[in-house]
Amino acid sequence: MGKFRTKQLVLSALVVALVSPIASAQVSTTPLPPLGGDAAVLSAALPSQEPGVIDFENVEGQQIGAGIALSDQYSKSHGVTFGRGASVHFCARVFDDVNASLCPYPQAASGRRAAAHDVRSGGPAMVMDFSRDVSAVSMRINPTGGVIDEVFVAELAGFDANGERVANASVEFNWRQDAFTWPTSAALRGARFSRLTVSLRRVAQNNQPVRFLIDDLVLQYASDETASPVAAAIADQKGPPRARGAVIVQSTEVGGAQDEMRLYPAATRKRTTIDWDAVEKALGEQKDMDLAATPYRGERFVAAAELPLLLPASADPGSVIVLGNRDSVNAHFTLGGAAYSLYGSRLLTVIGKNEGAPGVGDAVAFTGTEQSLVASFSVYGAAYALTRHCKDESVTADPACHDRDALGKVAADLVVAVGEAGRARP
Amino acid sequence: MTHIPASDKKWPGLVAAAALALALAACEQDAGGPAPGGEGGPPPADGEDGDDGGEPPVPLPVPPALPADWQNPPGDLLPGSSTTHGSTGVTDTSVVSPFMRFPFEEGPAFLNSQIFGQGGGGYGGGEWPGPGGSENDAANFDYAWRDNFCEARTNPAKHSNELCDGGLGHNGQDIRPATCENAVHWIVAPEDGHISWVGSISVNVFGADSGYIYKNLHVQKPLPDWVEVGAPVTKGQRIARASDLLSASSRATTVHLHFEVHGSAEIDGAMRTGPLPPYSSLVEAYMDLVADNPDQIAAVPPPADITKCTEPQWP
Repeated sequence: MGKFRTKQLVLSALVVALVSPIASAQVSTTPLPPLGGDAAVLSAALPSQEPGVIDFENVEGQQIGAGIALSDQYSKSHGVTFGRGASVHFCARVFDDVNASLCPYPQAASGRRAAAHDVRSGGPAMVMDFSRDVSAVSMRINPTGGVIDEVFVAELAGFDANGERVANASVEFNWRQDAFTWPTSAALRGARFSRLTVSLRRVAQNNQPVRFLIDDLVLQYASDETASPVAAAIADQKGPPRARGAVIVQSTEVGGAQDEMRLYPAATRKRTTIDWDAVEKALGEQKDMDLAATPYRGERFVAAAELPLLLPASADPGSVIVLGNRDSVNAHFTLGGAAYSLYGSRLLTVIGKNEGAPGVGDAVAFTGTEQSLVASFSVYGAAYALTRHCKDESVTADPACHDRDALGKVAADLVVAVGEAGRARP
Repeated sequence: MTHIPASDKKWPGLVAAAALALALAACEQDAGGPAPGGEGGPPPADGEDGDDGGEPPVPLPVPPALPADWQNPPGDLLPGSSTTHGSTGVTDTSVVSPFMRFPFEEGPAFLNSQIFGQGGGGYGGGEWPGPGGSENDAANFDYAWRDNFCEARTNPAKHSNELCDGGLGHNGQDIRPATCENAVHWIVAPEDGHISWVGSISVNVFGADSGYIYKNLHVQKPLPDWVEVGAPVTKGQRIARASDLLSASSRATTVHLHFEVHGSAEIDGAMRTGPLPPYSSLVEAYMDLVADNPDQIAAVPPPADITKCTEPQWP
């Protein structure tokens, strides 16, 4: 993993049932070293934020034990809005005057309070909507009562902005009344989702949904989670990317008699050397991270490409189209409704510049056109450009087209893909 | 090594045409001065050098009648029109796309500046003044061609270009069709490939052979029904018509095609993907076009009715 990679995701791939004490710091990060110039903009998209943790101890305006309804109290701080049926309850060995509490336990998973979901008022599942996409979530979960060793099944499902189910998991456990801490933890990971549903079924009663409690809700935001080895490899670079090992494949002399018919000479073109070892390493890291390209159209172009393709991991489903030939690829996709293109090539046209031109400066260059914002960079030995197409093709009319940070985050979502021809490491 | 496809061989008669053009251009400069093509310039006309016998040479067809001074060399911008008030763009004469087709279906066509041509308002609020007048001026629709890659542009949010003086400049080449008639003149695919982008006023083509992306801007909708991202396209196939659209809702520019060739480049030993200077490629492609269609060389009279320039004539 590149030295700028920061994510150390401890949450398991899908769902885990843990009996060890839960820690709110299941996800840890390490800080980014400083970079200069445009590369810093891209690297800023790499994970650096702590996960969000909600322990339900501080709810504005709450009345202890009264079971205040949860809705948007954590919207501003954590980007979470709860649906109907969710409320905060007090957990205590002695209930005092709070008999209305749905929490029958001596204590919560942490602190004194937990969130409950009542199926009578909220339906079978607790619903959480996220203003920022979330890619991993974990929580302690417990029913409000039962029979010793009775089997319960907790179910989690993630949905994207279009309402499509993109991830789900379930965990079965035996209920224990006398546990000092809530023993069961459920987690969901594997996609970007903007809605989460949580439910608990009682197996002995025809899998009937029952009310339940959760505590210490941990959210890993998607931008933190999906930074790929590609982004790290890009951010690792400094200064102008050099075309090392490039060999001439077309030159002025090649055309022979045909070139003599030209007013101007054909440009020299060179084919670069791909660092296939680095590509293979990235593929392995991605596999470990369960990262993969969004399904695409254009399989035959991918198969024929003799260079690593960079494709988005989190593009809008069904939006990715790949074009290309042996040495160049061009993918088109939408993400969050905005249109992007990714061009890459290992074929370089040798061209001079104006004497007063700066030439190639930083490893990553953000350039603006009247219709788009472009991040240009090189990685694995090929040159790439990620383009954000402005709405109405007017950079003036679309403020998002000035947002380098946002484009950097899209770059950080890129993963490497290699087709049949690429696997031969040409 | 890449070999030139037989189907893309230039018409032999162009040797003589180019030689004539260069000879005359050289005479207008200074005796013995370098030809615009430099080392890549044309050889002596057939029969001028020594013939060692063998088969008698095949008589060449009559060359097309391009004016001797029909094009200025690459990088030779209008005086004062670069971002630093100079007149030099990218002087590298290399043809980045040697086998592309000219992007207008028919000639004549004219490469020149829109904002500094007749009817142009200049740039920068008077810092780069334009001549004013009418877009329909005959001077805009006549030779000689003029490179305007790296022409003055100063907004980094819109006009970054690492090849241009000061790092800013026009990212493509402006091409006027035969007349200013709006939404009349067809733009065609420069090579076989696929439609790679369809915007509100643009259509891009990914070239299957070159791997370049050809950007065509200021197109009028509706486009042909089949034009969508991923659709295959053949060299010379109609993809859109040229208009004066600056955005989907603004007709603030002149009727022209803004043409870009995007690809990866080696610049002083470093790699970068971006716009490449297209002027010399367009020169070569135009010579191919008019070689096959010599009747499409001569400038045609501008329409008497200026509204044909400002109002779309199609559909």
